[in-house]
Amino acid sequence: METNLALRMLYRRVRTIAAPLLGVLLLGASSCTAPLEMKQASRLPMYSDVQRSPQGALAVVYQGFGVKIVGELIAVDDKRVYLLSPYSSSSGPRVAPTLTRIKRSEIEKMHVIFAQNNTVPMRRLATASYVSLFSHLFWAFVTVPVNLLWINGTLAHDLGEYRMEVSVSESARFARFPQGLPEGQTWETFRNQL
Amino acid sequence: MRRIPKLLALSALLLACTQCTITNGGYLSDFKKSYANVDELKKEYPQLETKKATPSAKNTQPRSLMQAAQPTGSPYLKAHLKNGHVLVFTESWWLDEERSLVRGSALNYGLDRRLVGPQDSVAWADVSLFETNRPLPSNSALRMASMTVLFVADVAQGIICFTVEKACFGSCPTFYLDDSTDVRGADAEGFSNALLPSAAYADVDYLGTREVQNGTVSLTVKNEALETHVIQGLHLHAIPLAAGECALQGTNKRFYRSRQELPLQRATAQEGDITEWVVARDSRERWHPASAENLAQKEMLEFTFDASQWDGRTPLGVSVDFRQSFVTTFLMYSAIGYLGTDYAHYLARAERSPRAVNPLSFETGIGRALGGLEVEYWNHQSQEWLYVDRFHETGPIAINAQTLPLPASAAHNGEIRLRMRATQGSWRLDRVALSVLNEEASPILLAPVPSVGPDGSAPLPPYALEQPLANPNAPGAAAARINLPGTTYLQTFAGDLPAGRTALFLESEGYYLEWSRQSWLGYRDLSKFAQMVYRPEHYLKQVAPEFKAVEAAMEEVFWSTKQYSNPLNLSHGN
Repeated sequence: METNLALRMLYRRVRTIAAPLLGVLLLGASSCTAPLEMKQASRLPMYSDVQRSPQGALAVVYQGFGVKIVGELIAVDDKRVYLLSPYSSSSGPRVAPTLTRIKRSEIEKMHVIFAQNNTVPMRRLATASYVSLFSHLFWAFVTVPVNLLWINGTLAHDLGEYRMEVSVSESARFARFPQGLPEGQTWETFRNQL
Repeated sequence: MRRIPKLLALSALLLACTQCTITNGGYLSDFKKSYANVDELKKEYPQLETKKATPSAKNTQPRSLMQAAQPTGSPYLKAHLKNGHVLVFTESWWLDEERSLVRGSALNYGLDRRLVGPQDSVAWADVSLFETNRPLPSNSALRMASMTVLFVADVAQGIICFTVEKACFGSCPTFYLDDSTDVRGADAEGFSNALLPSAAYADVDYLGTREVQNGTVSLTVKNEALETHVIQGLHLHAIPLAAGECALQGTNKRFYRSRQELPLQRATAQEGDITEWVVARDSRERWHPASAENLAQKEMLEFTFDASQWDGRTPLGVSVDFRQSFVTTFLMYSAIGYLGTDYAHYLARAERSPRAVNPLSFETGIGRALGGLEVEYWNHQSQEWLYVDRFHETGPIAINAQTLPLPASAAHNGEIRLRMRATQGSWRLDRVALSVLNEEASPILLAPVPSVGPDGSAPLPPYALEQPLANPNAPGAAAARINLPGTTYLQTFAGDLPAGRTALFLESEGYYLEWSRQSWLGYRDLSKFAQMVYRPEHYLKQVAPEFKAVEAAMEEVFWSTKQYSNPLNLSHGN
């Protein structure tokens, strides 16, 4: 009887913390699988500053079969779309970018995201919500996925406010070089200067 | 409670679907416009030839107020240069026709879009493309509200997980001398400790003093909670009183007459002077919140009485009007919750076991850990506190009035010092007095007469079983009334009682079965129950924070969930 009770007590302790721990794992996993553009979009200029931003918009290029390429839209010419990944702000830390050239014929559709909202208050609330999930104990099995869906959905919806689907031709005006590659530059020389 | 996660899930799914809709920005297609040369720019903004353009920074326009793209006369301007640089005009700018320049305050960014430096003009010929922008609105307020709703729901869910279900009304039979509908006015609650048939006992409660006529007294008997009451016997003990006299119920199951009270000089507790709270029977109770670390934590209350008017011979007794707080109610309901759907099974098993444990008993388990009101007196000869006995009566509803006889050595030099050791937060004291026990009293027994239903119709059988028992020879089997929730009736007692002022004491014998609630079934946890029974000291520390979270609200929730006019109405919200 005592052994049985001891085992029950141990099981209860494990179960009590298992639900929140599982929730944390889910949270971690969800951040790994969050849309790629959401991470890069956090470096976009705020909607109030986009008029003063010298950079191009964040482009999301869909090539079909689930292939998606995300990066700053650099330029568009007759044959190709040029993206620089990852998106980095002009005032942020330097990162080693990758210049990707995509044939227009291989593009299924294209989105541009040109600004973001100030999501800091929203993210703080999201963090507070995640922390409160530990108090749900057993019910965390239900509330953690609910919170994941709700928060990710809200943040994605927020991102969608400045997101448009455009044709490749229309996208040119959102590029860093809307006039095309600068005179006297090739893509190799441009890439070397980054 | 279970609906909240479902509602959250449904809302989240709906909200998550919005992730699929990404064309919110479609209406902003014209916030950015390009011009191949300055002539196109001048055509779009003719005022620029004569006026300075100052970019407008009003970015908080709601979507509904945003106008279609029109020349504003004050657009933001970017000049994309042929060498790949871009000039961003951050303040006013204008066209210098004479020198074919765009003038203004600009910042020059290089190919890599790093800031090169400020620049105050650029030649038209150096510009590959002009670009204008207008301010963008934001509608994040709604999403912020959505996140706030989620956060509040999460916090509420966390609180609900631990609280509301435990604060439900429960008691035992309640008795009213006057026809009161307010359970706070109940004059007695019977056998509150008797949670099992084998735990049935006779409980005596002071009802008060009334003017009795014709040798009869009537009581209203009620079942106001979700319980099954099995009343095996009801009797009234009546003590006729002379002027200036009162009757007291002793903790030793005796009755006394008292004609003198010794004044309370001072009463103190951890919060300081509590004299005003306990000096009179006025329904103003002294109570201290429970410890957040340990529900069994003790506190000391000290009382000093002026015994200068005492004759030094007549026995004394400390009279206390008290009732429990909701700690035991919380623990009892927790225990039922821990047993889950096995509650009835464990009750039946406990009945068959020779070592059945009554969790509310003051002799074992949690009851012993919590204890009663332990009374000590200061012995001046030995200069120490000596233990006398204790008050212990279960029940948070009706106030109990009991007297504990004191030894003669308790008095000294006209002063008597007593102290009570009690579990912090478990007891409410209305009055503490020192009574002179002039003589023992022999009460007159009044027996119940056939009672009538609430509408005064045909009399109810006196405590006859409504259905035959399997063992009709079991104690009390032939004389037990089973009352279900919502039952109320008038019970009259009669005897050879002279008219006049009379102290009344109700003796009730029986037991009750507390019903579990639907919302408690999810709390099944036998290991917790075992901890409560076999390691009560440890359990009381573990559960203290949980109780503290609901302590303040329990009073209101408890009294508002009384079940009275609709028997078996299980939809009242539990």
